[in-house]
Amino acid sequence: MRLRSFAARRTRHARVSITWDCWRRCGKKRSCPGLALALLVIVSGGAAWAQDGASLFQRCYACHSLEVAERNLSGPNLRGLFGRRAGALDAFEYSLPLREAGRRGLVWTAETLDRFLEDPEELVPGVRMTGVRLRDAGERRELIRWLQGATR
Amino acid sequence: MRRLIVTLVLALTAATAAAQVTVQEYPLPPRLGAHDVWADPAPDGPVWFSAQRSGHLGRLDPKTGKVELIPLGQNSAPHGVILDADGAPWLTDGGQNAIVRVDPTTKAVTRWPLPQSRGYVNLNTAIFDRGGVHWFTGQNGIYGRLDPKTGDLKVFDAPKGRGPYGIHVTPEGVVYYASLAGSHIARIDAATDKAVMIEPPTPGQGARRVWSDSAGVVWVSEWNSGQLSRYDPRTGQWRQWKAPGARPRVYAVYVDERDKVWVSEWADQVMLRFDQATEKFEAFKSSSGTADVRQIHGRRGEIWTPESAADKLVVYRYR
Repeated sequence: MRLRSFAARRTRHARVSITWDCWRRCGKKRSCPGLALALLVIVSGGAAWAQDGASLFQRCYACHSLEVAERNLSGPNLRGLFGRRAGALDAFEYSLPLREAGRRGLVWTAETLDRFLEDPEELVPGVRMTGVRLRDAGERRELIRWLQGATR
Repeated sequence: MRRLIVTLVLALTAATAAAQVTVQEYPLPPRLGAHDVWADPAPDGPVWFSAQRSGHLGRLDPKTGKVELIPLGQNSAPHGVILDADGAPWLTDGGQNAIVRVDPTTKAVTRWPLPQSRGYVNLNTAIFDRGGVHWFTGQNGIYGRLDPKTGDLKVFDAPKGRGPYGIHVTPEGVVYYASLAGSHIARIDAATDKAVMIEPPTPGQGARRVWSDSAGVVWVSEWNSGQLSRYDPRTGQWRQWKAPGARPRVYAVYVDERDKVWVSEWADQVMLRFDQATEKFEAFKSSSGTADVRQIHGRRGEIWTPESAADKLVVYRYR
């Protein structure tokens, strides 16, 4: 029962605590069934957690790639996105408003990306990316957290 | 001297052609993000548009300039809008991941969500075939069909994955779509529903939209190459014409009732009309500095454009 409630939690911190707690009480370091089950929960829960961000990335997938070599899409490649100035990839033909925003100091961080995904045209008026608006703050957080790993 | 005369004649010809086209601009409420447009075929009939940013279907009355907005639902972000044979607007609503119909009289909204197993498909554009079947594209790598009579909705994997964008039907009833990321067009086989890939000669050209002329010849707007291209299904032959300008970007294509081909070009932000007989482009422009015309539609004597960056619908009237 307790493990089931653990499965509902999705923070890494909670999973580590649960595993350690189970291990300590059971005392069987090599063949603890509770630990095995907890690890299964971690693996499956982790996959579900990762899938949420990946599913949300489907909103971006048509125009943006995370593959280094894939640079022929209608949106810029997202590898190395965080910390990059807006409109800064030499190989991509950005719209003028996005290049200008970069010149004025717009850098992609979790915070600026959150504002951009909520309403791209609000942050950069005239930007060509108009089709994606993630109005749900939780979805934006999840996508950004996933992108922070996937764009490295 | 001879060169000067030739230049003057060309300038006068261009001025005469331009004089035959008048431009009228209709302001829209701000922040709608007008993406696609579809003009009712009746003269002076309403012009419908998708408001992608705000999640509305828009209806413009050209006689009065009055704009009516119909909310489509939570998270709505419609990309395309088309009319069925009864004059009802249908939208490919990417935000709701659903095909949406709006009753033109009651404004009631009906939705056909895509199967959850397909996830988010990024719905793009649709067209009705001659049998009334609604064909649609999704940029994440699908195309599909919805039979409005039965509600039967099928989704198919597109060849080469992501990219399916503009879609149209020839007078014979053959459906073609363009794949932007896949850089090809595809013909949908009516017997099997399979998409048969047809690759233009220019590699990586970025075929974005397609439109058929009255002879069933397919015209393609190529975003990456900046070309207007032409595919003749009878011979399998392709031809291409680069749009004017240093680095043109051709977004939308539409063929009018006289088989003149209209495209929107983004580098110079102009509308171009291509004459098949002379193989020349003429340029027309509204007062907007940046218009970002993403789709074109028309009716006899009129070409309608949604200016997504300028909050306007603009009509080009010709004789």
